[in-house]
Amino acid sequence: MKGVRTLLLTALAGAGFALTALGIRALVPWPAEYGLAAKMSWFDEHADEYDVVFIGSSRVFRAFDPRVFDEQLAARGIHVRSFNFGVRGATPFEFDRILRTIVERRPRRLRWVLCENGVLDPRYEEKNKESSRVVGWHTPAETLAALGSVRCAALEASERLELAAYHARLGLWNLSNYGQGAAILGAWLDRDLVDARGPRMTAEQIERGRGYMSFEEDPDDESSQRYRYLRANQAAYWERIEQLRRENEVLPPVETLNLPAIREQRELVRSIGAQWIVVVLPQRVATPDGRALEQAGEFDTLFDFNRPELHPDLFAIESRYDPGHLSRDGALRFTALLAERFASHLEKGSKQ
Amino acid sequence: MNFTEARFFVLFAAAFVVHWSLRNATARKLWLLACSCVFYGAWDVRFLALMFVTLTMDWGIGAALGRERPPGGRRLWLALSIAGNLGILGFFKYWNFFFDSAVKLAHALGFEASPLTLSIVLPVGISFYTFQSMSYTIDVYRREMRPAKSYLDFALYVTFFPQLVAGPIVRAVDFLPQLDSMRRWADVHVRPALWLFLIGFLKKTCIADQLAGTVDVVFKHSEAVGAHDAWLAVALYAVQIYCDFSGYSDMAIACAALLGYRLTLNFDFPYLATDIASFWRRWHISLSSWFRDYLYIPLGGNRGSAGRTYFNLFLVFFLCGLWHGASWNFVVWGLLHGFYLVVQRVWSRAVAAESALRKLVAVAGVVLTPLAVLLAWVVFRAGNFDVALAVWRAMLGLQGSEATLSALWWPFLTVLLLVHLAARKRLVAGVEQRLPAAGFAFVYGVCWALVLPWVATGYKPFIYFQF
Repeated sequence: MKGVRTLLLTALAGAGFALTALGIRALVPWPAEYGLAAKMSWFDEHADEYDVVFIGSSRVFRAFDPRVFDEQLAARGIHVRSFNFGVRGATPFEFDRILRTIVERRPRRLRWVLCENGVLDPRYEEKNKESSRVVGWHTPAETLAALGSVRCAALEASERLELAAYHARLGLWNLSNYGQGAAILGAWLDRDLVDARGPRMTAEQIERGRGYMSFEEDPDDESSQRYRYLRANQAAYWERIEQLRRENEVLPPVETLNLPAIREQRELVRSIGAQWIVVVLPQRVATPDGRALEQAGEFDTLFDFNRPELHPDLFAIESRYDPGHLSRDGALRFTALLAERFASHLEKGSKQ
Repeated sequence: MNFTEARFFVLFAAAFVVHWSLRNATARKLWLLACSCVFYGAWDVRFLALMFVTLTMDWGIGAALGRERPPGGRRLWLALSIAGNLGILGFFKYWNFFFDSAVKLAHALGFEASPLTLSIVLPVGISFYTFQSMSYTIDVYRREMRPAKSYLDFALYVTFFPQLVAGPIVRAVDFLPQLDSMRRWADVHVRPALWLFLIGFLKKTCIADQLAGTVDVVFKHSEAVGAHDAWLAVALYAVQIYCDFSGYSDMAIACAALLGYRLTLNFDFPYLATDIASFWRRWHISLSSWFRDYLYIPLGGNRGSAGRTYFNLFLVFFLCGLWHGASWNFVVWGLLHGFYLVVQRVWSRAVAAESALRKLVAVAGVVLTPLAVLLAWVVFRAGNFDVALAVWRAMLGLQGSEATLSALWWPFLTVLLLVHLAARKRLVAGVEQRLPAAGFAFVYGVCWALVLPWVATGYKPFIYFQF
């Protein structure tokens, strides 16, 4: 009897906790670093204006110019308005969270969701292991996705356990709004109180580029160092690209990739009547997982630009600001290529 | 692990459930001992052995003291305990400090000397458990208590995880009798314990850890700060160290209470003290009373001449400062407090108790005492004398620039002071008892949901764990 009473009281405490935490959750803003909160706020206000949205990391942020994309398509008689939802430092789990938020918003015009390909890798970066942004994306859905990735990935048992504990802990932090007080207070006072790394984005910057910004418009010491490094170490860069080309040929077993999460993304996009297109951007590491998933029939449509043998222009030094990101020239080339692929895809679709 | 980590909650939940499920007293003690070993081993498993060496030595000496009659023999056993404990503490904590200081002195005197620096890891909590263990042998020597009935009891007394790494320093005479009888759940004051844990958690994670960043910035750039920032940073540090340490003590006392054990009060609103002697009766009570009972009084206390009393005070606080850390800034901090106490004594002797002046100063003590404590915290926090001098200069307005810290911190400090005063006056005491059980449970859950957003994220070790 005493045990039952204790359990009931514990459950009541849990209920008090859960109800309050849920209420507070509604007040927790998106992390402001690197423009995530700004883009989310902008998109929420202007979501019904866009037909195409491209979600991804800094690779998308620096590579996809919506104005050029729309112009190129308009020249072929396809009229769309697109938005660059690339966010610096975003991981595939963050793409997923952004996607879910967009789907919940149910934008009226949205017909195509382009999503940067990314392995839902459960491993974390030590320096950002417990940043507010990482905690921010550990919503219940993303935490379950991360735990699913832990289950699928080829890991040692000890690493699997450690990662599962890590994601579960951050999921609990997210649910309990752990450490979010400064962000909540800051949102209420309209002041930036969070001691977070990373610059912010303004609404004017987002509007000007429709979410896109080149490195040339937005230089900083670290990216300038990488720019100079690339140009001073071109031989090493080309070796890396050659290695990328070889590694792209080795397709991984799809069982190690979180298929349920990938399928859920596809269904989410379909649920709002949009098409899901996965895009592999040109980068400095191999991405054979994209083709492996396409061959396994998991992607509706894949545009793979990380192929030096097919898209040499995107790997030329002039196209690169640093080894992993495109320069302004590279962005123009990439956007034009993407527009051409997109248009061909639409034309093929309309013929079928 | 520390009390604010998720893995501690898992450990404590397991300790709690199994402890109260077991029906055998020995089994319970073995279980708590095992939990304590897991807790300490999580810091550094290598030093578990060292702790057991210390406690085994003192258990054996305690048993020998229980048998030994002639005073000479008993003094020898006691000397062995003190030498052993202080030897271990001295090696692990003070080896490099003493050698570096000796080398610097030799150089200052014109001699050549090279340091014999070793790479020594300081075992967590060594200052606490060696003092705790020594208090046992001293009390047995003084015949204030009988030796522990069993090795298990004594081992649990020293290693008991709620107080193991940062106190309170528990006296054997207070704790060992609690191990003689089986703890009963009916005797546990659950609600006050749960409430105390929450308050301790809030003090540590939501106040102390949040203030740390601001304080660190000012002390790191001490040569450039102005008066406003210096005073504010020192005031914030005073709050930080109080909330950090008393918060930990609250959580320790609460955890012990939930297991059926009573630990000694360690902080009693020290910043509301109106004189320095009163401050030391309220701050880190378990340590100050340890020094009083085992050093100050055996040295003669205040029973001798005034000069002897002052010497005793300086010596005790010299060692108290040294206990806090192997660094001269801690020694200076201790000596400052020794000086304050001497000044208070001189004043008490010089001015008649009923005089108007004495009464005026007693009233002014409300401000003078915390001010004196604040000034001493500067050298405690600074880490070296250059930084301490820079901060003191800034506080006097002799250097620095305009204010860079937000003035909003002052109303924050005012609110904290009012809450502190309300707590002292027990304005909301016992509220948790007046709620029905279901109401308390629900409100408790709500309170945790309100506290967790304000935790300073990122691991911050307790300040006192460096001692």
